[in-house]
Amino acid sequence: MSPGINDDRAADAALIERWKGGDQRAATMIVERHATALARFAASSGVREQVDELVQDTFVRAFNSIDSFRADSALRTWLFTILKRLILDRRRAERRRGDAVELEEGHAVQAYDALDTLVADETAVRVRSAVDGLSPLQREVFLLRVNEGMAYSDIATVVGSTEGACRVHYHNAMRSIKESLGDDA
Amino acid sequence: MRDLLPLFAAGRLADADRARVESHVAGCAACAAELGLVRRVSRAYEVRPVDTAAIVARLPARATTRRVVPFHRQPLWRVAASLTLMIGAAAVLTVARSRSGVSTMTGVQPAPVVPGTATVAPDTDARQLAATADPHRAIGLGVSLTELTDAQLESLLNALDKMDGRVLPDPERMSRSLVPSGTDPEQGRN
Repeated sequence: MSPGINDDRAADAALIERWKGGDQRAATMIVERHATALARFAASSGVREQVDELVQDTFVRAFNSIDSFRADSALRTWLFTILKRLILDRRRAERRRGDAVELEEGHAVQAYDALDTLVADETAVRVRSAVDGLSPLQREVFLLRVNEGMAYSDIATVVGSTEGACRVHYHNAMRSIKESLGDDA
Repeated sequence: MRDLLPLFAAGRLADADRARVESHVAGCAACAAELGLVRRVSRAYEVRPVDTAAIVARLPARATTRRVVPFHRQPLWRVAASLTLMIGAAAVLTVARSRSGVSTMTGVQPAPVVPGTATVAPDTDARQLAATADPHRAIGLGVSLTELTDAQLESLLNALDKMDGRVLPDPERMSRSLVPSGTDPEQGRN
């Protein structure tokens, strides 16, 4: 593991201790350090609406059970794990609600893609299309590595796999993306 | 070295590693191309800024997150409460049974007197209680077992022994017990 990531862990651990000591500004700093990464993960996981609300729920849940957080893992990894659970819960709820809507109203729900409004250029669309061609697990591993610079051990925790398997998934995904985009690298 | 490119792009490398990667990429076309791809992917997944103030506003204050075990859920209290309830229930049962020449237990109504049969004076309860008065009858609720004398405890145990063989209050039997001897309550029904 790189020292940079260790520094992040130490900084998070110090902020948590400050918050436990009653320093509310520490909570703000924790949110500012991780909110964008969580939103990106949610959006890249296919969450199409109310990304901010999902990120909020993640932090609320995390702070409510901060005493159960063990500093031997990265705070961001823990937050991602919580967020992933919330995404899965929401998908289940949406599936149930979607079925009900289709049965009752006979039309599909229009979705809003948080990513489309920001990055609509052709390059981004091509890249996302290539990433969409990966298997769900490959995509998750690849994006956690590329977007967040996460260590394989932390990725393994989030996706529920092993460090070695995540390494293989990443390299296979990278090769597949290069082929899709016609890159020679 | 390629493995470090995403961490380099995300700014998650320490100074020494960052310098090493920079130096390598400057002379390696393949790694430079891969670094370019990593950055393109990152840009493709950029999101709008998150409203961190709104998130912080919803966070709990530290004081509310401390796990305080309510008094009534503390183990010692629960054991004490259970024991008190058991002793209290036993005391209620003992007193109630000791007076059950005619049932005066809460929730158990005196058996109805069959019309046309013997009548029972309204003060039967009091008279029967007086006639069957035992030493342990003086033991009332609110008296701890530890406060009783040896004689009282012995009396209480004897009374309990006798009660063990007793049938629980039965309306049919109780109505018979209210009828003076020699009178058949069944006659009144015919």
